Amino acid sequence: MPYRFTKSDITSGSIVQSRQLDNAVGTFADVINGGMDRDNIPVDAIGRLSCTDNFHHSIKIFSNINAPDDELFPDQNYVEPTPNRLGRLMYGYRYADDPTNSGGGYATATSQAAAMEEGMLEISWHCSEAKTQYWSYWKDHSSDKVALKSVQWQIRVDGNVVYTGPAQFEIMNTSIHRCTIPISKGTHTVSVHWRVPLQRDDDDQDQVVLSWWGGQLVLINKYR
Amino acid sequence: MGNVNLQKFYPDNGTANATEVNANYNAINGSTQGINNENVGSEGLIREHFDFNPTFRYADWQDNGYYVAEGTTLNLDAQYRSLTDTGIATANKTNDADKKHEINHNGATGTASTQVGTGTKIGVGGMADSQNANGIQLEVGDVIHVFWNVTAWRFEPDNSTLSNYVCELVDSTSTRSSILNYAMVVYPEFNTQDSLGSNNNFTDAGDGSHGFSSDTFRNPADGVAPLGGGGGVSDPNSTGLNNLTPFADNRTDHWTWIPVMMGSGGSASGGTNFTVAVMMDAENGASDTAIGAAKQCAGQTYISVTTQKTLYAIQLYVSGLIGLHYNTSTEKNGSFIEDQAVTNAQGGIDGTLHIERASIGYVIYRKEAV
Repeated sequence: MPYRFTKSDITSGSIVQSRQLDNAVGTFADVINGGMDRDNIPVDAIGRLSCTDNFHHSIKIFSNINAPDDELFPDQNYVEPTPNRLGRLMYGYRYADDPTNSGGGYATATSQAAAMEEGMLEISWHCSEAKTQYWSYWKDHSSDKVALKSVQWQIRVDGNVVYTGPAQFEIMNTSIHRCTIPISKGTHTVSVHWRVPLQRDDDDQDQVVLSWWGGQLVLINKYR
Repeated sequence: MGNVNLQKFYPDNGTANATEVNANYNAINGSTQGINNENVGSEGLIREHFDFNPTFRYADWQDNGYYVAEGTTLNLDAQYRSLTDTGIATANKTNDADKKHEINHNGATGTASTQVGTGTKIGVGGMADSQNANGIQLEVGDVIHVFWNVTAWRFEPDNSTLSNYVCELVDSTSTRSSILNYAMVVYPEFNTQDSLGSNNNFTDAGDGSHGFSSDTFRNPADGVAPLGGGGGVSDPNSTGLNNLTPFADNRTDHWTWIPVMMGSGGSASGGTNFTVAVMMDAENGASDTAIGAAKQCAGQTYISVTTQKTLYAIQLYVSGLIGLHYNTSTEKNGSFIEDQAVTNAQGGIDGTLHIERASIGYVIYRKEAV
């Protein structure tokens, strides 16, 4: 029986006013009509078959996210004046082009809107990335400086920054970024952003600074 | 169960007849059967009320137990060869068996083992006995999160003269190919066929017959066959990029890229003033030709289940050497597996990746509404 139900005793043999019957069962009705809570249900009382799918959480997976091919430009150091013998062409983001624009600012990698319930939102972003540091300090036979570059990832929810990762200098790697935040009911937009460091005056303009691919954004909404 | 509707006597407070009273008691009596979400208040329950985990179906983790001191030469079983091999006599210097390798060295000695529960071959649902995994029947809507970590101990090129791997971007007098955008890739495959976890039964999650996902996955070894003996090659020039893996076409978010070599050009002083180094060498330590000691490289992927299958085991694999390439015809960025060794006339790259510790874990999230 509900914890809050306190029955009204009716004295034996007495004439009962009908209003007393209301009082006898009214609190029970209040509890059973949507008022039951943790005090009324025993431990381990609910099995899997008693629950509908998706009753406790929802997971949104956005896979195969890549840098848009039309945003990528060739590394001119790779293809000119002497093409790589095997013709391997490095394409990626250069300082002189959109959306890099000399670096320092954040560009959008992906933006996804999803309906959510009140609770916690676990956000996971991972991708592979290359920072072409085939010269660490100078372009060969020149005084052009071309390195060291890095990339930073940032996650925003409805435009608010909820995570900013450290600068990563690895030549090629797969990086994972996660955070968990409280979230309200409604449709929210989760976006992932990247930035490369500001361009120096003597930075080589032909090099690809960054390329990334193989991204996956996962939103796990754990209901309250 | 719906709401309990009672006959209320207030405010009339008139004469109650037996039928009305009994109707109320019957409604109350019926309410004790089939309590459901209409009866329980919002946020009225906590985890202890469920006799199962509302979030996870199963979670597990294992590592290979191979921990050695820095300076140690790893067991040969922990040294994974690239597809390219200067010791191969054929023109392409490749061996089909090296397209990919199970990461299966195990225990204190790092000895290869094919048994489920050893190396990076993790049984799903725990072990039924020493040889067999229990397996878990995946339901449509379940989500699998697989995560792993490998310690890249050393990359050992076949040719100890690292300048042989120099590309013309570093040294304009060289005719070698680029070394500096190559990596070896670690990725998981899945066994839905046998509780013993036979290596022959591992496929990617999107495999048409054995997979459990409707997504299409690209694995590093795809597109390179036939290899050896004058077969197909992955040279993007000579094959018309047939073997290129366009990133946009298939999932590659289950790959962990491990860089292997890098180079540093000299300034205006000329092409001989450069440095070439491997990215890691925990056997010999950091030096002018080794950027640092071991690298711990992590990866993960989430996969939605769209076909009901019993999943028995998951295992990590390591690929050959992977390069980046942009197809100017299709205008797609992608990758390919290298099949040119350094002694080939066109240059190339080759060697072995030594892996010390390796771990793999997974979480199966309870299915969502589908």
